[in-house]
Amino acid sequence: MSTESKEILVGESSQAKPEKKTIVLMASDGDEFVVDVDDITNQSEMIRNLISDMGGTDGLQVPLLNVTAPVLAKLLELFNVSNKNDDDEEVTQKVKELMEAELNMMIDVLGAANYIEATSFFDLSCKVLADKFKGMSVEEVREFLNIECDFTEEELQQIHAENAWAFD
Amino acid sequence: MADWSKLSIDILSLIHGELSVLDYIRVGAVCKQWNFACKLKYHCPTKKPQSPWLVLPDECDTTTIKFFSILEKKTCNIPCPEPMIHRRVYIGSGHGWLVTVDDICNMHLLNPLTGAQIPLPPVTTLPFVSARHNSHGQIIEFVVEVPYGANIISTLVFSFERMRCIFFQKAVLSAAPDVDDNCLIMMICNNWKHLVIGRARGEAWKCISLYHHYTNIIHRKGKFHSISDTGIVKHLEIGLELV
Repeated sequence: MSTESKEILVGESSQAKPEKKTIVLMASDGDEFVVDVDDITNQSEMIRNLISDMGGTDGLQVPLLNVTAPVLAKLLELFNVSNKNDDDEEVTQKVKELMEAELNMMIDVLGAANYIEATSFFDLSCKVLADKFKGMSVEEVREFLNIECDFTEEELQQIHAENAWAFD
Repeated sequence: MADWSKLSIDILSLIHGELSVLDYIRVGAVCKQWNFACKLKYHCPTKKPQSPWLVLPDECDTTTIKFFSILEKKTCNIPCPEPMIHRRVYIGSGHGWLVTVDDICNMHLLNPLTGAQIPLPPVTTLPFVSARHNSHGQIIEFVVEVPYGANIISTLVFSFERMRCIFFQKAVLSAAPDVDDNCLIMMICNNWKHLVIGRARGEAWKCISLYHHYTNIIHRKGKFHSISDTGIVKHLEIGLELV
């Protein structure tokens, strides 16, 4: 999966606009992803700052120790959607689809977006998740995210008692 | 294996920050990590604009304030933090706080969700309000000066009840008083609709202008706006040194 994404991204950037600058992102498992500088700095504050600190992009390789290749591929795919559309509608839809289809991938994508400081994408993803929780009961949230209730019976009673009106 | 119960606190806080107050309180009961994130209140949704809640009158239940959430179409009965709060009148609201007047005309800001209360300056600090006291030094009634024409001033004597019904008209807040120390409260008061300003926990109310007949006020984007009964709209920028 990761190799595929790499090829697509390299192909797009080198064929369509050969003059564009690229850098290499290295996933934790060693896979390399060539990305367009404008596209990635448009999203990631961390990489934007890194390029500015390094004084350029020539031969720049950025190791992302916390991000595996499949997660990075998914994140770059979503960035691509975001960069191609002026409004957030399309990318919101893609994040929703990811949340419904691959909830475990979603958590890693969120973590990765937070790590590389892709602030606006991260905020958008948080909003998609929060929208999903709206109006859900506590049990429904636990079931949806596959979370076990780790409170004791007394703790749970106390939480309910503190704000009983919210749990009616 | 990804685990949603182990999501880092900063990520969780940001997700929680997007929720409504009601959902925010509920997700605190999901698991320990989520509860912890809620308690830290890094991105508590009460710091952001929420969809409005209406206060509904409920004469029968004296221990709660009844709210209706328009977004969730849900009624919430939130317990009153202190006795007698149900006897207060509400003269304004904003940023999650209510402006209340109790049965002896003391004013408070009240946050119904947390039960927090902040006193507002006494009305007797206004230049046109004084009080009559009994032999124990307790206020028994108020004396309010009312301007008639150019230089003629008459005085009216108000009981607590009449003062509450007639004197206090509307109050607005510039910010949440628990977040911003420079939160100002503007109020239309007196039969003649004076405009006055004060601070939460402040010493005194100040009269803004000698002109009266203000019929409505709002606070939006850092400015107070007023409209008079002749339709004149004003933008009021209040220097903090004035209050």
